[in-house]
Amino acid sequence: MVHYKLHYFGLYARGEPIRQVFALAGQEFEDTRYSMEEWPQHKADMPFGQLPVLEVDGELLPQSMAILRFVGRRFGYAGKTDVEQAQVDAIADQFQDYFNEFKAYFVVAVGFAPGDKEQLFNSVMIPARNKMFQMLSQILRSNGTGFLVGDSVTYADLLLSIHVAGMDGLTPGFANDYPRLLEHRQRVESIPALKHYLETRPFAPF
Amino acid sequence: MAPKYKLTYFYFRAKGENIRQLLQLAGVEFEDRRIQWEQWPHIKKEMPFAQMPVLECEEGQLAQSKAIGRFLARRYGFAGSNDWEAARIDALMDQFEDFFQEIRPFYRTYNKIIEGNLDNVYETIVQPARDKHLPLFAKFLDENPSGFLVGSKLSWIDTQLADHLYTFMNYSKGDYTAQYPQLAAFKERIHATPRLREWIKDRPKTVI
Repeated sequence: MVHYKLHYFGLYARGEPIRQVFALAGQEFEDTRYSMEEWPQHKADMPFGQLPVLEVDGELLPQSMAILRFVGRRFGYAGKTDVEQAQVDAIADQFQDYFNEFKAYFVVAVGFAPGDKEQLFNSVMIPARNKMFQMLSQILRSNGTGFLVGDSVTYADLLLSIHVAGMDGLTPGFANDYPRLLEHRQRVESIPALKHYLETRPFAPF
Repeated sequence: MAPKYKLTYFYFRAKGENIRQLLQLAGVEFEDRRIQWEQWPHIKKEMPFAQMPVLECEEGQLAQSKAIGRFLARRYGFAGSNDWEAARIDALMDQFEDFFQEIRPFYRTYNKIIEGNLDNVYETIVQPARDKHLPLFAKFLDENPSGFLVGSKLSWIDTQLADHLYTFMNYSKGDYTAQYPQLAAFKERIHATPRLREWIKDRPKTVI
């Protein structure tokens, strides 16, 4: 039997989509969480000196999106044909671009850097959010199945539902102008395996 | 018969070239639609995702350079020999993307999106980023006897890295890889692949 071990911090951030794929798949995995203090001792052990890393039977795979795609494909949450898989990948890449766009706001909002949080929210976060959320609403509308790609949940849906939940936690009402996305979040979070996971997972600030 | 694929991107290499090279390597015909910088604001509205590159194929349209690259690489056998190798290639591609984000000012300065002196950006931004990231790729090469970054055959991360090296080795007249001779040799080797060698010889010449 294959043994999976996720190495990450005690955060949702880049680890949570991966954890939720395991939850959907009903696949057990070792959920290792490093504290900020102990992490420096382990850095040199990781292929790219960063987290998350997925250890599969002792072999190490770095880079959150590569890991997400690997487990998504392996367990069937990545699209059913090669074209659907590519569409899921494209949405994941778009999320990465989006994260890069609002990073300047995010690091201030969570206290990693000094700055004017409100000013950055208006000048950086809102434009990025509106552009991304409009595109995603449109994709949901055209696809018509309630999911972003195909007719069942994929890791693209997880990236969206986790983001909406996380940002709503930081700024209540963050997605209120986008009812389709609020509905999407409800749909994904009510999938039985995920519902149970969300009720029992350890809390993280973000 | 119309070509099976149509790629729309800017006239330069940057995030479109790896896709063009994969199509060349696959031996499939494609329409290589190149948009001049000045045309872009007018074309943008046509594009389904308001960005490029975009690949059109029988099944529909696809955006995002890495998603397109991976789709073609997997379809035509340039994504490793199993799903683990495919994932390790993905991981290196993502690492390359992190590197690219750090040196993005070079591309933005070249396209005059931001003000600056290109030589200055090369020295103060590209070179330090190079020294932070290239050692990792060099390590993967050193540890793999096949001469490719992952597995035993050419993959889409090999062509991506080789194109990056081409850009900055040309810009610096060879100096870029002075401390990384195995990477300079790697680039020559990848670009000597028959279909690529012809493509490189005949394609439009661009700085980026």
